[in-house]
Amino acid sequence: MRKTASMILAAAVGLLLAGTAMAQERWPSRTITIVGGFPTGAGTDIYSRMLAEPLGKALGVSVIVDNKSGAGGNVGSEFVARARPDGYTLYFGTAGTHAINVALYGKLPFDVIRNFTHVTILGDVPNIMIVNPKVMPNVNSCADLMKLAREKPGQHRFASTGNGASTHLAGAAFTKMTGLDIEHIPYRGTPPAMNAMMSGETQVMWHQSITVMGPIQQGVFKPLAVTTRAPIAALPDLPTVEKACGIPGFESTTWYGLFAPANLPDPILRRLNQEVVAIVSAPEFQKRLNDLGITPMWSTPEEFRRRNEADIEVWRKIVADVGAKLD
Amino acid sequence: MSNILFRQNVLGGLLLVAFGVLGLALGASLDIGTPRRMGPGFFPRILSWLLIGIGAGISLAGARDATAERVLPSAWRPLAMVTIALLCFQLLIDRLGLVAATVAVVGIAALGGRDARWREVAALAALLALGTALLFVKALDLPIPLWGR
Amino acid sequence: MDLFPDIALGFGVAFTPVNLLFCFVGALLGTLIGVLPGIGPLGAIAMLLPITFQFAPVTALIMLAGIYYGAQYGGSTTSILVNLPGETSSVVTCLDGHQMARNGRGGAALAIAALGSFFAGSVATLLIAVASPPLAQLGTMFQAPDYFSLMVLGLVGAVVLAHGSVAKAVGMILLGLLLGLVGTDLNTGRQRYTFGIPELSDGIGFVTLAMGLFGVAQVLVNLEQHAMPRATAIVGSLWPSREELRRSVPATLRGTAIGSLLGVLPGGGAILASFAAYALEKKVSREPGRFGRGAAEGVAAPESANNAGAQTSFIPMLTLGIPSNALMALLVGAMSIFGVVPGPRIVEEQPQLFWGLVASMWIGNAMLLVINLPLIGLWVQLLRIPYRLLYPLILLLCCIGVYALNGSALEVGLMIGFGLLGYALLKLGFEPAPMLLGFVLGPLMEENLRRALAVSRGDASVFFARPISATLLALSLLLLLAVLLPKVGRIRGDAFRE
Repeated sequence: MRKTASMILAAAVGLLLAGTAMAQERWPSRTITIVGGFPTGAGTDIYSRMLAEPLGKALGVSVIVDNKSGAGGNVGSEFVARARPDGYTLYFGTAGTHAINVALYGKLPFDVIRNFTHVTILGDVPNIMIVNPKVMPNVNSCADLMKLAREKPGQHRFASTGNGASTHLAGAAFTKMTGLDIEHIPYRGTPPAMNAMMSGETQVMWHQSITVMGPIQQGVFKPLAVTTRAPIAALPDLPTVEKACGIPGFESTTWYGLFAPANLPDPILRRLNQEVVAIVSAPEFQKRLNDLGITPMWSTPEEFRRRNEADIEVWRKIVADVGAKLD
Repeated sequence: MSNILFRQNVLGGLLLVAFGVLGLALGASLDIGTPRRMGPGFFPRILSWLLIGIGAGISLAGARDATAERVLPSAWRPLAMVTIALLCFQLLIDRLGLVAATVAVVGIAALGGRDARWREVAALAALLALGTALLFVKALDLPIPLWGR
Repeated sequence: MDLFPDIALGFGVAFTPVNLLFCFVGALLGTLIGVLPGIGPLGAIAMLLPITFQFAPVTALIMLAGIYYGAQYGGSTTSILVNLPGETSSVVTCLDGHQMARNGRGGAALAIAALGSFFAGSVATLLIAVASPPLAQLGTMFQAPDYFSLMVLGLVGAVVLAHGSVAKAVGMILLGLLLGLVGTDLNTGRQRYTFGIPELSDGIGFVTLAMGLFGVAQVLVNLEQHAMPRATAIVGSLWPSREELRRSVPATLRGTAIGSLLGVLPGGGAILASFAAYALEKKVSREPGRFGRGAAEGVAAPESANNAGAQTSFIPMLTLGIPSNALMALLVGAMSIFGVVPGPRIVEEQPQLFWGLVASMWIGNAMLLVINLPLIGLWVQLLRIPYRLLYPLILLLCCIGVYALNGSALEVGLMIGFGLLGYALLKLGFEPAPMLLGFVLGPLMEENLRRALAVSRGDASVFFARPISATLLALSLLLLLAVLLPKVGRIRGDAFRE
C-alpha cells in the first residue's frame, strides 16, 4: 500500500509539473471566454454562441461561452470588469448591463465606461408589442388595444420579465406617454411571463424580438407594433409603435455589444474588432441575425463607446420618468 | 442550567427563534404594505414571527421534558478540519487555481478523519488534483482556473 | 387510428444509425455528467450544447433530449449513493434512496429508479403523442391564484414528508420559506437579506443550499459519529427483491400520473411532482413509518413522477413554443440556433422533426435502461471505497460543483455555511427535506399571492372564485386536517416530540 501510494504520488506530481509549462507569448494562444450576464438560452447567450464558433476559427483557438447570470447582468459585468485585460476574457454586454443598470441601480461596483474596453457594437434588439389572439380576438392593431384600454381603464395588464428589464421599460414608457391605465405585472423571466400571456392573466407584452419571433411565426402571438424607429427586416409589414400607436418619437430598443476589461492592449483590441466585424458583417450572418429579429450592427471601438455614453443619458431619463428603481 | 440548555429540543427551538429574530432585525427596513398590497416586508415579518413562536414552543416543551439528554458534538476535530478544508478551497480556487485548491481540500479534510495516513492522503490529493483537472477543465471545458487567475 | 403513420414516421427518423448513436451518446454523456454533484440537466445541456451545433437539427435535438434524461437519471444515482441531490427533483429520492443504500440495498434502489423512470417515460411519451394539445391547454389555464393554492397544497404536503415531529417539520418549512425570500423582491426591486452581495440578489442557489445541507452536513455527521456508513455491504442481490418490486408497482403508477399532470404546469408544477408523489405514497401507505428508512416505494414514486414530469414539460414548448422553465427556454434557444421554431404549426410543417423527437424520447428512456442497469454493479462497487477516501472526494466534488455554477468562490463559502447549519440541524433532530421544499415553494407562493391580489385589485375572493384554486385549497384543508387531527387527541407536549 505504501509503495503504491508513493508511486502514484510521484507520478501525479510529475504530470502536474509538466502541465505547468505554458508560455503565453502571442495572443491568442489559449481558450478565450466570452462571459455573459444572462442565463443560457437567453438572447445574449444565443448570439454569443453564434459568434463564438466563427471567431474561434478566425483566431485559431477555442472560444467558449460562460454565463454568470444574476442581478440583471451585474454579476457578469463585475466579473469581467475585474478580470485581467489579457484578451482572454470578453464580455457580451447589452444596453441593459451598460446603460439601463446605471440608472436603475443606485450604485454599481464598477464604472461601465471606465472599467471596460469597448470592442464593437453587435446589434440592435427591438421589443415587439404582442397580444395573444385567443385572449384578445378583436385586437388587430395598436389602435384597437388603445381603444379597449381607454374604454375599460384598470382592466388591462402588461407582463414584463422583471423590474427594470427592457420588457418593463418599453411598456412603462408606452403607458406613460399614452396615459393609459395598463398595469405592470412583473414575472421572473421569460417562461412565466409567456405563460401569463397564454393564460390571459396579462393582455399585452413588449417582449424582445429574439424570444417572440418563433411564437409570432407560429401564430401563437400577434404582433401589433415594433419599438424601433423603422420596421425591422424580419417583419417588414409590422408598423412601428410611433406610427401604429400615434406616439411621436417613441423608441425603445437595446443593443448588444462586445466588451473587454479596461486597458486592453491596442493590438489585441484592433485584431478583435477586425475579426468580429468581419463575422457580423458577412451576409450569411446578417441574415441569421435578421431572422432572429436582431438588426446587425458593427462599429469601431470609439463609436461604440460614444454610443454607450450617449445611451446612459437616454435611459437615465426614461428610468427617471417611469420611476423604476432597484436597490 | 446547562443541563436544560443543551437538550436537543431546547437548543433546536432556540435556533429557530434566533433565525426569527434575525429575520425581523435584518428585514426591519422593508416596507410592510397592506394585506391587499403587500410590500416586501410583509411575508418576511410573518414568517419571522411564526418561527419565533414555533421555536419558543419547541424549546419550552424541551425544557419541561426531564428525560431529555444533552446534545454535544463528541468530536471537534473532524468538524474543524473539514470546515478549514472547505474554506481553503474557497480562498485558493481563484488565487492559486484548481490544483492547489484540490490538494488543500482533500489533504486537510482527509487529515481530519480518524485513520488518516499521510502517504495515502498525499497520493489521494495528487490523484484527485490530476483527475479533476483532466475531467473538469480539459474534458468538460469548464471555466475553472487551473493555476489561478 | 391516425396516429400510426405518425409514429411510424417518427420511429423511421429516430431509428437511423446516426440518430440512434447520438441518442445513446447523449444519454451516456448526460448520465455521467448528471452524476457529478451539482451539475443537473440544465448544466449538462448548457455544457454539451456546443457539441451539437455541428449536427443536423433532428440529430442535435435527439442528442440534447438524451442528455436531458441522462442527467436527470444521473442525478438520481448520486442522490441514492451519496445523498447528494443535484436538483430539486432529486431531493426526495435522497430520503429513502440513500437509506436503501445504507441498508445494503443500493443496487435495488438504483434498479427501481431506472425501471420506474422508464415506465413513467414511456407513458409520458405516449401522452405527448396523443394528448399534447389538451394537456398544453391545461397548462395554460393556471393563473396566479391557482399557483398560489397549488403551493399551499405543496407546503401542507411537506409536513407529511417528515417522519419526525410535526412541529419541527413546520419549523423547518418556515425556515426554508424565509431563506427562499433572500434576493430581490420582484414587485418592488428591493433587496431582501442580501447584504449588498450581488451573487445573492437573485436568491440563494438551490445547488449551493443542497450541497451544503445534504452533502457537507452528512459528511460532518458521519465523521463526528465515526459512523462510516457501511453502504458498501451489499445485502442480498443487486436486483430488487420480489417484495420490493411488488411495493414499487402501485407507487410507480401513481407517481407517473402525478408527474405527467404536474409537469405540464409551467414553473412550479414540475418541482412539486416528486414531492407530491412521495407524500401521496406515504399518506396512502398502511405503514407510513417505513418511509425515510429505506422503503422501495419511497424511491419508485418520486423517480417516476420526476421522469414523467420531465417529459410532459416538453409539451408547452413543443405545442405552443412557450418554454415552461429555464431548461425549456434553453432548448428553445438552441432550436433557434438550428433554425427550428417550435409551435402549433410544427407538427404540420416539420412532422419528421416532431415525431422523430417524440420517438427518440422513448428510445432515450430505453437507452437509459440499457446504459444504467449494467452500471449499477459498477456504482455499488464505488461505494466499497473506504469512507476515509470517499468523503474527501465527496467534499471536493461539492466544492467544484458549486464553484462551477457561476465561477464564484463566494458560493463555496455559502455552501460551507449551509453545511454547518445542516450539521447543527441534524444534530438537533431536524430534517432538511421539508426545509428544502419550503425554500423552493416559498418565493413562488409569495409571488403568486401578491400577483393574484394585484390582478384582482385587492379582492381576496378570487382564490375561492376560481374553480382550480378553490379545489386546491379545499384539498389543502383536508390534508391539513388529516395530518393534524390524529395529534389533537394526544397530550399537547407529544406534538413536539418524535
